Amino acid sequence: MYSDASDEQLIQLHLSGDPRGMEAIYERYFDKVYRLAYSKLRTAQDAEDVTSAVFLKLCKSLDSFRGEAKFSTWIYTVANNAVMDSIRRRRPSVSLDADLRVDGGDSVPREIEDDAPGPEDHVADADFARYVYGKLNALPPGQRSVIELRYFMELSYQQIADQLGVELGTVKSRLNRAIAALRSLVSTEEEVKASAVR
Amino acid sequence: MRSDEQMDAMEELQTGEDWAIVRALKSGATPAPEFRARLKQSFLLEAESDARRRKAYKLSILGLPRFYTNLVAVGAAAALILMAFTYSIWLKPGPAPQIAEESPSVLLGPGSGALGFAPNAGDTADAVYVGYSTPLTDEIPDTLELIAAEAGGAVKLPGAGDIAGNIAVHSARHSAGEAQAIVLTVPSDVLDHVLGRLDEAIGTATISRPVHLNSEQVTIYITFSPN
Repeated sequence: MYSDASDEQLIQLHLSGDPRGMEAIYERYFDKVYRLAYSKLRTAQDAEDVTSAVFLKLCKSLDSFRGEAKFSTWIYTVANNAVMDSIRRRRPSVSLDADLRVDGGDSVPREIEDDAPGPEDHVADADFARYVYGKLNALPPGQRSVIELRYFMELSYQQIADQLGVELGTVKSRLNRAIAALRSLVSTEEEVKASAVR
Repeated sequence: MRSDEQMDAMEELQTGEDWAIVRALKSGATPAPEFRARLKQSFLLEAESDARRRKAYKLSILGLPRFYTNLVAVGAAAALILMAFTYSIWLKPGPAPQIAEESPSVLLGPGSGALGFAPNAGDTADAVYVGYSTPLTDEIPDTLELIAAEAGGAVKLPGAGDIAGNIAVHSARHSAGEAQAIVLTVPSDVLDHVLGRLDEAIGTATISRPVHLNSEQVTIYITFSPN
């Protein structure tokens, strides 16, 4: 119904008292926020908690959205803050580093790290995707940011450049380097595991 | 603007064999459908409640459109700012009324017939009227001066300046056969003593005095009417 409307138009619709604008916003951003949270927290449970927090507080948080930035970059910031809150609440023994992380709790089947499939298992796309997500924390923050904005929040290159305050060319080169680095991380582990099998 | 498909195709060309990584990033981490549905329900309830609240607020306080309440608020703020800058003008006391110097030519006393009779004590002193049916002799001013001095008050003799500071004393001497008056100002708490001394020194007089004295000073108007 509102598929052609811009985010800002949908927000204005809500601010004027029509809740239908928010339904469209939810459909647009639910997956994005979830993916962002999942990539950083790497458990489905934590990602769900953060996604819930972001959306359930979204309406009230709209007062702080002044339209100076695009809604997509604003909600990215809100989601990142929610992720940081979640990390702070975590037990100190739990590390964000996938290679060191020790897991606990009842959500083990949804975890990426311990039960994440190895490279040999990535015949299934979903498993390979989770495997790649597990490598994201190994990227430098600048490269990780462009990955998040491009593939999770689905911003254009120009929007990413505006958000990060860098040149368009910088965004492209940083993204290419990030993808190459991920490729390299995956390949290296594949080789290590392959040699171990031999 | 390129479509998403076009952008994807471009990206695939650019990233080459890394397209598998890109696709993994885009498609990975799929949320559970039941979580999506549950959160959507809660979110839409929240959104509906928030939209109602905003709508109610937009209709605004006292049922007035928000524009008008904002207008009133801006007006009030402007008025406050204006008052803050001009309070010295608004609150500045007006020029003090110029009180004419008391003139000996003005007869102050109940028998004078003067309109608006009042000493320059600003109507704050209680007044006592003492009337003698005898003429004002030459000794009487000295006697009154003595009595006033005893009482800590003051008297102004005809043609003289104020004897004591801001205590106003008026006197007027008129030609023979007309009423003559002297004004004596004394502390209220010694009024009875002063009246007693006047009785002793000058003689019995008709006295008109208020039942209650409300001021610290009392003005005694003494008139001498030979008739």
